[in-house]
Amino acid sequence: MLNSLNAREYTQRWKSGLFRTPLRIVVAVGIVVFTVEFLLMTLLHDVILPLTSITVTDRIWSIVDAVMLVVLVSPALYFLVFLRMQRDFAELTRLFANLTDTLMIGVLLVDTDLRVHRWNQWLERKTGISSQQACGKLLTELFADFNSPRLLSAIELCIKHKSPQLISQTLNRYVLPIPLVSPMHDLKLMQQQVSVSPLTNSRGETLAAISINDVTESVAKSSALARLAAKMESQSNRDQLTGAYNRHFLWSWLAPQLRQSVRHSQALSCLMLDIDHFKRINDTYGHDVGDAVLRGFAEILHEQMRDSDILVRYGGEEFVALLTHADAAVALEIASRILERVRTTAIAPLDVGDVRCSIGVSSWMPEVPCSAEELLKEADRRLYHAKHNGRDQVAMGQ
Amino acid sequence: MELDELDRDALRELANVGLSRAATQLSELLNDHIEMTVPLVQVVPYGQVTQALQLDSHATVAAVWQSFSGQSEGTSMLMFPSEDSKRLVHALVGPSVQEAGEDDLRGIEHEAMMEIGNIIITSGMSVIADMLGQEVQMSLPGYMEGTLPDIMAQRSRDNAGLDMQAIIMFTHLKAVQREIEGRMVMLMSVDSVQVLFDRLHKLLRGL
Repeated sequence: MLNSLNAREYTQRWKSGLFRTPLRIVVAVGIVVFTVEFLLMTLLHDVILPLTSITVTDRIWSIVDAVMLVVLVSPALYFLVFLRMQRDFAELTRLFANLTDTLMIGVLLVDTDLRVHRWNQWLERKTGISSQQACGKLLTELFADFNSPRLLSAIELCIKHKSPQLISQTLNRYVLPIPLVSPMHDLKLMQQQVSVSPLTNSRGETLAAISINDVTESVAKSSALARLAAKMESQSNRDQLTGAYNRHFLWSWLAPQLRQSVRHSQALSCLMLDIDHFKRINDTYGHDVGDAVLRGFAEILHEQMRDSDILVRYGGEEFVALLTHADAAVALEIASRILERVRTTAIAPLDVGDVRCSIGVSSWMPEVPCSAEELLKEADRRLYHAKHNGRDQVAMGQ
Repeated sequence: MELDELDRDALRELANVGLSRAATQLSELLNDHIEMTVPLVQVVPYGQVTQALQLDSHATVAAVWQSFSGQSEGTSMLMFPSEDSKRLVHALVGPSVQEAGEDDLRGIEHEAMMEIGNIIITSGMSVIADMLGQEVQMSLPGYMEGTLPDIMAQRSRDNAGLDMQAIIMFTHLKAVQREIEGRMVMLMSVDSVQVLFDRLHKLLRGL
């Protein structure tokens, strides 16, 4: 399409261009034609004819003159057209060479050895390597840390099989290691979307035309959005004050966790914890202190739990700790440790021993499976017993 | 056109060689062991392509296509059931997909599938071009998603008025412990297919 358009445009141009050839060239060519014709006719008339015995009438003489003129004018016209065509070609070539410089993408031409044949302005700007420095060099010489087997194979496929190749940012991130002037988030190198297309000259040699799209900004944007989404998700799952999970998360976590426990025959335990006389703390010291106590209490719980366990703020001053791979004995040990830590820690701004808690423990065993609701209800019942029996203690079933 | 078992077997063998090359490329790109085989090759008239592909006409298909020109003209298409291709990309790109939102995901899938399809089609077409003994110029790849009739309607608009035949290669791709059945369809003129099989005949006789 592009080629045929150029050809048509081009034919029109040289037709009209013939008449736009500078006058001095046309005059010069005219003078040359007539001088040559005059010299040849003189030669014929004064030198060659006297040597022969042929007599030429004026009529024949004028025909010879006309033929001679036509013979000489034709190449002259041809020469003028050729001149015009050559100028157009030169202009077109210059135009196309400049075209790559006007594009907002990187364009480079390389051969199979990775030797650079063209390097556009965009690349000059982004890499700081001038076209002069780049042309004739190998890509591996220009970028010491160049390491893209995919680009190598794409160039080979492109040149050998004349099939353009796409190199996506998703699977490759980049092909030329171009450092960013100002790093974006955690990106230090320009993220690129690249295409490699074959370009064959009239001698049948094929070069690979590589175009590079800088997609760093959109990659940075989408990863920022992803981070934001992750943060929002975590916020919707967590209690803002203590950082513990909320009830909504508890239920979405517990059901699949119990299924896994069934599959792998693993125990799971539940601690239900309540700060003793929390209302009194709130009433005596105010809500700010109450909040600080909740935060400090949750901190102690987090310290005593393992990475696979989760802590949930179940109600006002009530927490649930779910302990994976923990049978009743392990759960009791962890609960006792928590009780001891709470007793012996100064939870700011109160003194050591001012904050106490009660803990109810229930366990899910593979031999006696129960539902998630029953597990929590049992822990709640044990907590009630602990409260009833004087608080500041751990209570568990059999 | 009449094709005997021997012709089809020979083409299948060549296709297997071509696609194992693609599998090597993909393994390198995706850092995973990938195998590709061609269990079956068929040649059918254009009108019977939809039927011969043995795909559910209601299911969504992901297709990567590249048209080719030169002495032979036509289109090469690689199709996977959409669900399979999605799962494949998710498994391959992994965490970066999980991080991304729903909308991003589609962009990532398209981009990744286009590159994977590009590599596979190039390998498949190199086999055909070698057999034809001709140079074919390929276009940049495009991506489409839709039901099979939709996709074929779209592509036939581009190849309208030509007497076409289709070489269908059933492909079997094994990656990240998944197996995906794909189809590579090469639509080209009856003449080109004739040239291809004439050369195949000669090659077989030569052996």
